[in-house]
Amino acid sequence: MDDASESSHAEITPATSHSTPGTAKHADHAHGHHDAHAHHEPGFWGKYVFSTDHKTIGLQYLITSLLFLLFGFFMVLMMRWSIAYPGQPLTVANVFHKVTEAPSKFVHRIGENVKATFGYAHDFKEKEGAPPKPEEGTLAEFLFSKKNMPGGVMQPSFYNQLGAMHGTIMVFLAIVPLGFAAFGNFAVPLQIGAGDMCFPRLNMASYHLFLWGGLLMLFSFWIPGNGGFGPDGVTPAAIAVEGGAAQSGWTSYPPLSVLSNPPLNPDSILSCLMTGQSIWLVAMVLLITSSLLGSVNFIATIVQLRAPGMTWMRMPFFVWAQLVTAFLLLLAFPPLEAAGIMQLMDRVAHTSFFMPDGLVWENVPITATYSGGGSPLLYQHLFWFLGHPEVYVLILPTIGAVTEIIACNSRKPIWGQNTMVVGVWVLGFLSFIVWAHHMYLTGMGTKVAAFFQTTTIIISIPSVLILTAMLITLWGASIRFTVPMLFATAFIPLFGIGGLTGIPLAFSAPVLYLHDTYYVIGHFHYVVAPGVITGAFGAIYHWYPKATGRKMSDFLGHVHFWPTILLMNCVFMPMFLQGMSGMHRRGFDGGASYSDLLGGILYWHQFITVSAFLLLLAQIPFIFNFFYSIWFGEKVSTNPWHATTVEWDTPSPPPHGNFTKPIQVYRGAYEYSVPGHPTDYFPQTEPGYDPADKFKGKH
Amino acid sequence: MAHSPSSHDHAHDAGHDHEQHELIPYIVKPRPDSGLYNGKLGIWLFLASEVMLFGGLFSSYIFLRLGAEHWPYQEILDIPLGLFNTAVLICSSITMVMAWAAVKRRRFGSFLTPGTYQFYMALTIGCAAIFLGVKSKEYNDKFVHYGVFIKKAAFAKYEGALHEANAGTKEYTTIEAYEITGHLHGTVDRKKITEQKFLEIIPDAKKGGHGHGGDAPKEVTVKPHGGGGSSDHGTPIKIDTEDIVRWGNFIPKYSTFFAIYFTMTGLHALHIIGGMLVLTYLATFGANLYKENPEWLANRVEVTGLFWHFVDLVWIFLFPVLYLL
Amino acid sequence: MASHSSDTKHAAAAASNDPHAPDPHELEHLEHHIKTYIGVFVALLVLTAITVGVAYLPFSATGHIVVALLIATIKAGLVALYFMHLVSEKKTVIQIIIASMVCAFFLFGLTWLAWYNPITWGKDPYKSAGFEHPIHH
Repeated sequence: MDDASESSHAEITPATSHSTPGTAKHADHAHGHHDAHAHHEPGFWGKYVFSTDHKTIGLQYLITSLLFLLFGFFMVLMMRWSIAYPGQPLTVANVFHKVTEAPSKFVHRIGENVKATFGYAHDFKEKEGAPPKPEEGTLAEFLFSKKNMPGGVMQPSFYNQLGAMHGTIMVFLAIVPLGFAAFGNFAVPLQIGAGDMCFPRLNMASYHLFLWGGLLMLFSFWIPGNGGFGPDGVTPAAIAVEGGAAQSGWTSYPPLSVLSNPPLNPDSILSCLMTGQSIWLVAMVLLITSSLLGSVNFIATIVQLRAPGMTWMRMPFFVWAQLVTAFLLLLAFPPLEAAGIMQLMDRVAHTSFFMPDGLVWENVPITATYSGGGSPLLYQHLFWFLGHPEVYVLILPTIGAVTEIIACNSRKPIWGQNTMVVGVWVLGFLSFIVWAHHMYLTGMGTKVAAFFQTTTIIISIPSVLILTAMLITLWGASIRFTVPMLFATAFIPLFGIGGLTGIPLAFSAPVLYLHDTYYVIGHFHYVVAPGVITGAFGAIYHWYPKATGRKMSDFLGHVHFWPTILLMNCVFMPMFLQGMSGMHRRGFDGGASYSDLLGGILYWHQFITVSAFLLLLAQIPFIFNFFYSIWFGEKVSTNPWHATTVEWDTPSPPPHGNFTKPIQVYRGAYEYSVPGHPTDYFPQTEPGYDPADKFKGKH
Repeated sequence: MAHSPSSHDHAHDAGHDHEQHELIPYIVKPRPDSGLYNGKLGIWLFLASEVMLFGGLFSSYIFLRLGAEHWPYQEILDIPLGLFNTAVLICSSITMVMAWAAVKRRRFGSFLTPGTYQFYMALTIGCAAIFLGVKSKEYNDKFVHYGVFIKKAAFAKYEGALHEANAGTKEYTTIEAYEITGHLHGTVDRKKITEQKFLEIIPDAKKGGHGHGGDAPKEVTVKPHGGGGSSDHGTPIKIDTEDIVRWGNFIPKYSTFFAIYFTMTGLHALHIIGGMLVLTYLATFGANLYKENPEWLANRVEVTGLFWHFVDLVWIFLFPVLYLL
Repeated sequence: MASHSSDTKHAAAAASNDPHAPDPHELEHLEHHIKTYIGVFVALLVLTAITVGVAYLPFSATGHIVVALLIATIKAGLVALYFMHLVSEKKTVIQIIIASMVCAFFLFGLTWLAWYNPITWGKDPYKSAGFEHPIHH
């Protein structure tokens, strides 16, 4: 240790050794660290790819997860086509034809319904020509190979791959990283007045694990099969291997998931690994590890790096929601990791964790390969032990963001903020003891079912508390209907529909009827798609000015909002109807083979599919707006929404280190319209009295 | 100890550490209200998730065992080796905590000076290496140990010979078979055995009556060492392949017991390897931090130690659960 | 400070630099702790020997499980309390441990479900639910 460094110790130590290092840290900044370290400016790779800055990582997460969201959406559009028009080739011309002729067909359908209602002769049969025949050289065939879409017609196995991948991508690669990682990374350190996340390099590692896990999962679509032939290409193989991605749904229930996607050579570990389902499992282990690192980082950041004065109850609700989410990820994900490892062992080492005694597969007993003695139910328990907290992992960050937007745009403090904080903790806790309500039909005993029905109903109480607090906040407010506020207010009823339709599914008796029907699909999509994605759009519009220094176009925002909300309902509302009529959720042909039984509701498939394609069109304004506004959006000040929370007290975009001055927090997060204050917002960082103290009588 | 994180960064210029330190307080000194420095909170959170990971495996163990028709008791795993490994891990735990104490007492030393940081780190890494060596020996013993499930219908053919050899047998009603375990005599090649249509096995001697239910008192005999080399005594029994439901060596696919045994001990061994890597880094390149800020090094050693003790703690449960019960 | 006499070169360099010198108060505690560590170490070895010895005693299966897990829990407790400093740890850590223990408790609840799930193999579900088996009557 040389003299120079010691003398620098001597200079710096007194200034930084007292108990408010937050201030000292920023004082350091003020002393020109930026100038001193200008030569440390990282290059392209350091700045955009291997960045340790939480804002950059947040934006990386945002872009990546939005891309995955788009991929997942494309996948489901292809699936929807197969459901509504089974056996018909997927071409641009056909899609255009179906979308354009749809209005007249629906008018016809409604007319026939009216006739039928009043007892007149009616005919639901479509007056149409022969359905289009498979075509040579369609785009779909080119993109997805002849094996998967010969002549543009989707094969059932490819539908299964898309189904599994749609679920996995949407849950683990789109919504969780969007709500938790993207918004959390960007906003949490800013909102608590921290310079960065607690472990920046861990943060970077977390993003890269997520990215490579996601790419690995996508890569599994390209796994080759043998086409039913041996290595010479002539002799028939013992096992026909389709190749391609996992086909067992996003839940990957064994024994199907252990036996599906068979390897080319069951004796080779490498061959067993290079199958869709095994790759799915490996990718899931990567994603879970990424989430674990992320959640450790979030909790540590929130506990350790709050700015001076940022007491627990002064934290914005978004930060609370992130904290609970992080705990859910931390404690609920590892059991799935254990289950994933065990299933990987089942697939690669041919163990029997999840393989029961006496299993017969395609008319062949498999006792020679598998010792048996395992339990498929064990997997289901471990999966749903994650699975249900996972639902709250999807929802809570968005609920937090929506709360921010609602408080800011209704210019009122959040009604019952403490209640919401307690509610969100209770929600998090209870979500650990409701998991088996996904498994009523596994034949569980009445005692077990009674326990899980009770906890499931109890968990609706904190959810309703939170929604009610949001609604009451709107009460009597002079609401500013900015674009983020439009999405936030739309979130409340849409999420409400998703929640309320879940109540029948909490009881084992209705589940006997509704299990695995489109009703369930409608229910959880209302929670996640119109609910969470709507809220997430709101959050993007809300924090976009902070991230870029420019606002997204209001006009395009409206053009995005109205069709999106309308079409989301058009897509998901008919699913309740179909589900209650008994429509099963997994058929690749949308139940066409049951058309005698389900004829009356099958035509809703076409309505949903056309709406889904239009929903894609409705996202174009958003995509355009997102990129256009980076360069050409309206320039905004530091605090364009006149919000109170700390992130609005720094330049947009915030510099490296986030703040240009020491942050000291003086009051709660939502001091809007405080009487006596010259503006209708009273920022957390502005010196002055704390209105809450006045009521506590301890100023 | 009037030392603070940000005072430190002027003493060296390692790019990332430098940058982090400006932004992030409480890397070395604890935050007053939580009483923790960042790393300690982080590792405890990580350990909480590890509790859930191993918790998931342990509860799977119970779940599978409750449903199993038979569960091997003490007769299959090598208790003396397991006992030795437990002692080795406990030793590594104490050396780990002594390494931390040595940094705290500012005794850096070298790998060969007793009572110093580097000495204790070397001991810890050495213990971990011994553990892994013994573990791989145990694995290897299992790979040369075989079991055969004889069809119930054909079992009468072999009953006399098995009785004479005092062989332990277990009945499985679910697959209608009898299991015998032992060491193969002659070829172990699956293809050859299929061709010659029989295999020869020297069965393990009968142990206490730990059959279904397991309520019978256990025999007070220590299991003879079940290594691969010691298998050539005893009479081989010839079993036709057509009478066999399945046979194989003790690898994960043999039974749910071995599946969970290899998965849990394998995952534990991966933790040991990960810990060894970090320990090696801290004992060598990472130790340079001592010159700049010994408190920071002490924190890193403490955090690694917390992980290491947790790995030890998992083994403390794994040993009785897999070997003794 | 007693430890100064045995300090190495690095430590001496560090000690001359005030910020890096060990806290004498803390050192005193440490000397005391090290004695505890060695005591815990011996206790762990003894308990390990006991748990193996007990395994050969003629208890019932339940007895073996109870005794082995009890000893394992005591050992784990010793490691956690002393080697992992839980004895003197701050309440944030205790809270995290409690949270994970509660969740782990519920996780172990799924083993309970194995007994009550009628299509689970193993224990006769009818008997465990208090009914006579319909097939046998």
